Amino acid sequence: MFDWHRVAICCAVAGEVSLRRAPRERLEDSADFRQLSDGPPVYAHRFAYPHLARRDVGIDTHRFLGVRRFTSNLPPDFGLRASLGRLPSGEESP
Amino acid sequence: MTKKSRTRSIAIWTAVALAGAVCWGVIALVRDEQISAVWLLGAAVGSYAIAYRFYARFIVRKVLEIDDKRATPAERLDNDMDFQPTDRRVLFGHHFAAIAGAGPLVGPVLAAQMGYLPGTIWIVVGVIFAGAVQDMVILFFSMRRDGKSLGQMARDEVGPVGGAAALIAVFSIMIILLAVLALVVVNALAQSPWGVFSIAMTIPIALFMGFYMRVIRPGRVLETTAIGVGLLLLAIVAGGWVEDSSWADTFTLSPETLVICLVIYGFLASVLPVWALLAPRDYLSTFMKIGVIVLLAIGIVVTLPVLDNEPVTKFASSGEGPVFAGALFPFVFITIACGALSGFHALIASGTTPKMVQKESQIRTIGYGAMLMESFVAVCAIICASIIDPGLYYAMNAPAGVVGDSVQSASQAVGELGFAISPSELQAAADSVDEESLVARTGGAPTLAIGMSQVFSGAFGSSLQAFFYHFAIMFEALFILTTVDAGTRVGRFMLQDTLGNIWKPIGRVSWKPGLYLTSAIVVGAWGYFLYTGVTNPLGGINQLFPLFGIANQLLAAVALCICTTLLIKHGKVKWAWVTGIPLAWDVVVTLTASYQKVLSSNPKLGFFEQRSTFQAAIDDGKVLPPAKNMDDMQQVVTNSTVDGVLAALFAIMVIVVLLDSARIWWKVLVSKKQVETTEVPFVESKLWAPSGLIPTAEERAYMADQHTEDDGSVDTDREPVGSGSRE
Repeated sequence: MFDWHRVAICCAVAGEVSLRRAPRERLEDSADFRQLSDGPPVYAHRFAYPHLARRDVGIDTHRFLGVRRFTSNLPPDFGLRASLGRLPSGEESP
Repeated sequence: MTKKSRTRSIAIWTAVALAGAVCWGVIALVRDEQISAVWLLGAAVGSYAIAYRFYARFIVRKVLEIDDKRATPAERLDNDMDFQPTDRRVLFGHHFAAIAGAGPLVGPVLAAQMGYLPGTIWIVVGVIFAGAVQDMVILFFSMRRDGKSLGQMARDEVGPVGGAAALIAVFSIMIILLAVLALVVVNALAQSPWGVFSIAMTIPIALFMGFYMRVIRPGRVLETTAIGVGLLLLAIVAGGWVEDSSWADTFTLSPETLVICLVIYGFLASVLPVWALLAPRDYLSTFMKIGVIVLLAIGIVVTLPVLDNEPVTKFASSGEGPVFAGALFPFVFITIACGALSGFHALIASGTTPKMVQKESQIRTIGYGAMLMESFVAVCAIICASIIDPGLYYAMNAPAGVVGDSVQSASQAVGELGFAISPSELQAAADSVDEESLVARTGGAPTLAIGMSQVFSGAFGSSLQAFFYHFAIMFEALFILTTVDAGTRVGRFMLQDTLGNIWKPIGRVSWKPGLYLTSAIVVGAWGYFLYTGVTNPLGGINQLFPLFGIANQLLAAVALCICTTLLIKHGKVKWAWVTGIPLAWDVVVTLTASYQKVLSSNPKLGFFEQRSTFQAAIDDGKVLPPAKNMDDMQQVVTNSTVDGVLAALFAIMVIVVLLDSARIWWKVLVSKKQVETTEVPFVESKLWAPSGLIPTAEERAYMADQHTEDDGSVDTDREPVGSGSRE
């Protein structure tokens, strides 16, 4: 699931997304999360959701040293860039 | 509304107005004796209530003409693929929690130098007529443009020149902001083994939480947060043990060493993955923020502390205050930014919140209401700074060059300023919070922590004063460290984008060397200002805080320019004063402050006069106090030059944005040319939700009639409701 982390820059609302595992039933029961599509069970926090919507996101779930890693192809600083309206070319919010 | 409920409403609001007026009356009329802080709280809350009920309502109805028949982006694009309407109460909480950071706590503490009255009046009046209006109007216009950011709106609605100026402004501001906030942390932690230990422990605690939540117990946020909070409180308690142990020397760090630690921390934190440090610290700092703000408000109401500070000090008119130079006008208005008017809110609040609003009428609660709450936090901060002994306040907030480094020299210097505090009283104040010394602990954070610890210990027990002091320090430091991390990330991607125009590989956002290089440049830039602030013989806060204030208000000028331009573009010229007057005020304040900081003939105030004075002394082979040697003298010359150039640059950018906006106004008003706006076309709403946090009687009746839920559930089988809030 894509979580949303509030970061205060002085006194302003922004956020950053991170990708992590979470029990599916918890996400389904929580009002804070929403499934991104009808396909794989990928959820997003409600504040990350508007920035992820309509976007093709690739998620890598390979194991590394016995631990399954979850990484995505979102650009670095995705949440902050999206909050500030400064996504790289071709990555603008819908 | 029935006649009976109308009469009741008039009676209630008359009573609220009278209560607020009585509080203001007491503040205004009681002279030569101390007053209780409760009068400030009463005046603020009464004013907020009236402003929210009448002025904010007037703006949303008459000026913005909000239309609940119009679908918001959250509803219009809510097809399981796009945005998502969010319960107004959740969104309000999110918005408030995010804007109430360290900013509204530091500025009011420094502005208490002028007395409690100027700062309080500016916080209350400023938020009502400028800050909350700016937040709400930007939220509205962004919402009407599918959640476009301030930068995008500046580019689209004003022009590329305004957009570019806004971009340069944001980057410059970010650097100064990070330096100033990091300076606040350095001043709070220098020579404090307790503080250094407990703050240092937050890093391994956060890393552990990140690992625990990612590897050991994935997804257990509450469980992880509970463990983290427990460890955090233990770290504060353990700081006291460390101070009394043989480890104390290890954790007693000089300001210069702390600068190096912070620079290394800033770089590493910004290149680490989000889950490792940033995410767990978010969980910790959210708990700390809500806990401290609630405790503070309860503490003030329970203890009803008396204000020791004067209503208006002599520094308000003389401009010779030791905390920062300059008279009440314009410096109170730039020192207190967050809490009254903050450009930062508009910068980023236009990014996420507008994409989630259910109904247009809710912008009053979310945009205006959340900013009023932040203003209330700022009033609490100025109260904290004003309940402590003025002698202690100046001993803590005057730079070391003025008060020296001992309680004896500080006592003497404070006496020369016209206030009294004995060396033994100064030492007792330090002992009460288990600090070696409180002399020259500038930056506002230690002062706020002292005030908070007095409030908390008054309400919850005096034996815990040292714990509460360090709890408050940790609260502020956690926020500032988050800002250091996030600000460095923002700065680096702005730099990546800009440098990418010159050398393509840097612009490739996922190219790691580029990421590291730009992170290092940004950290180096704010690290430079931080280092000069720490080592500046004239005092870093004294020199840099006005620059930060000017920068923040410059951003507010950009936001208010966009608001005014959009009102004019939409044919609402007769209402353009709603944002035009705050804009005019903000421009006058910013330009006056910039002018004085650049060109004043007073060397304490004007950077270039300061430079000339110290350069002339160097040429004559003299050393001017507070410099101690020629190296100090040279440093003052270099710092003054850099700071002066920055202040001038900020002023030029204000003028550029204003002129670019005026070009559009001229086009519309005089040339009568057609101008385009990027507002999205009307789409009818099928969604219903209450306007305010608490549904009105009419809204409750409607919900009962329609079987609609309070969370704004979609009911596609009925006609949409009429426009405007239903009160």
